[in-house]
Amino acid sequence: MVDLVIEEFIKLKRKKITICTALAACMFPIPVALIVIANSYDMKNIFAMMVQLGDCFMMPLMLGMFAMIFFYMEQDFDTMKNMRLIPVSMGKWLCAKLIVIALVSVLYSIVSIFASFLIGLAVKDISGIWSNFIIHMLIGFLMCAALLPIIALIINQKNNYIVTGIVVFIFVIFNFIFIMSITKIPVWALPFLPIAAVYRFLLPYTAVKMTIYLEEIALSGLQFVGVMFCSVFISVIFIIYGFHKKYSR
Amino acid sequence: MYLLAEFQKIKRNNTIFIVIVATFFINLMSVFQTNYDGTFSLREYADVLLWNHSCFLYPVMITLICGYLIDLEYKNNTLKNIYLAAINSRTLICAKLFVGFCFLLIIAILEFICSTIGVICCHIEVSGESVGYFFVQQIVFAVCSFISVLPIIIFGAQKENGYLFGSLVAAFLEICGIFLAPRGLCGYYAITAGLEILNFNGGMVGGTLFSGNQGEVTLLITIGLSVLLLYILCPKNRDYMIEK
Repeated sequence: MVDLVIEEFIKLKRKKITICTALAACMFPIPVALIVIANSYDMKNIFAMMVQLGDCFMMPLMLGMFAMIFFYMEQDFDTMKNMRLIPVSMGKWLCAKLIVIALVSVLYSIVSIFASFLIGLAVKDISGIWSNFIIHMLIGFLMCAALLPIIALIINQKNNYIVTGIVVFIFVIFNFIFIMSITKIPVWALPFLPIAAVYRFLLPYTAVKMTIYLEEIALSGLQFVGVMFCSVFISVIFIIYGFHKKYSR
Repeated sequence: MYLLAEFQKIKRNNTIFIVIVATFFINLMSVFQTNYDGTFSLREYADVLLWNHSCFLYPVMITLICGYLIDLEYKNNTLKNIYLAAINSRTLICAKLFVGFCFLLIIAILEFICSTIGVICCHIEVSGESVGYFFVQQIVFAVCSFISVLPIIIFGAQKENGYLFGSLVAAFLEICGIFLAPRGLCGYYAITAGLEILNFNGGMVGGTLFSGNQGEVTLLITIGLSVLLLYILCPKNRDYMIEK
């Protein structure tokens, strides 16, 4: 299994997608730095902006595009038959792909926290950097789980970049609208908005100041676990279905 | 007649259907936003639709569609066939951009037709003048949005799958637009320059009226930059796209 994960990383070495991931993580820190320096904000503001814009908008979008390229790579280069010729278990191959996507999201989180640290140095405030680091890493893992519906779509689709790209974009935008607003999300809609659910669960730790409105919309631990369980469960069913239809014949 | 061939290529895949569904969702979202306080008018709905297009839809959608059209030649390995027919890379990209532009105009017109029918069916009072203004707004804004992302599309066309990174850049730029536009920088920022050209009444961003002459200058500069990029990155005499 470890060999498969290493092999998937070696495949990425040939593509510039890893550099693009790091570049995508560096995009939002630039305007955040300008806003923070102009308004003399502190680390809490930096962290809140980085989570809202970087982790909850750019990261899922970048991960979705990355997952698309990553999963369609074998069909594009016609190397799937070589994979089937050597006795590589397709189930392990799929798990290796998912582990690599999780590690890429962690890489994004590390670049993001490093950027926050540099901005904090510029405004001479790096208080709470270690707790921010832990929350960023947690967001990285949770975002990977929140993107399982997209991965299920990618596996079930037949190398259709444009359809998947547009669906990823619409999915992230819809979640982002609920992240930017302070309206309560209906309970039945929460499993379809996992990115917004992750943000609202971590709201007490990421908000600059917890007001009465934010307390109303924040998700409790039990609600969050229930929502993520539903979302992940439905996604895994579709992933297994798509996997059997596409790869196990 | 290479343009006709490009139009026929779109016919083969279901991109059109997916894009129409995506714009339908943005329209639905705009309806809910307009009707939030119980009142609904065509003028308010048009403003909300423009803002949502500027911040959430057009930049990324245009980059994805035009980039995908260019990337099709990499994916299907048909570049060598195109160069065999003595069509150079600059002509290829210009044709693709033109097709993407026509596609965008069709989407804008379809949106206008659906919105107008919806408004009439809901028995909301509309005048011919407001409907005409709504139509002009949609078309002009579509053109302005297309011009604003031209440099990103041309830059992303250099490599296979480069348009995906271009769409990330477009997404980043459109979110920056949400913060820059209400701070008096609407006309200086290409993505939101169309709002200033249309004298957008920013009711949903604090009631600021975006007006001025800077938008036209910004878009002209963007067109100039796009032409420059096309000449530098796509030399006529070199088949650069095959030399990976």
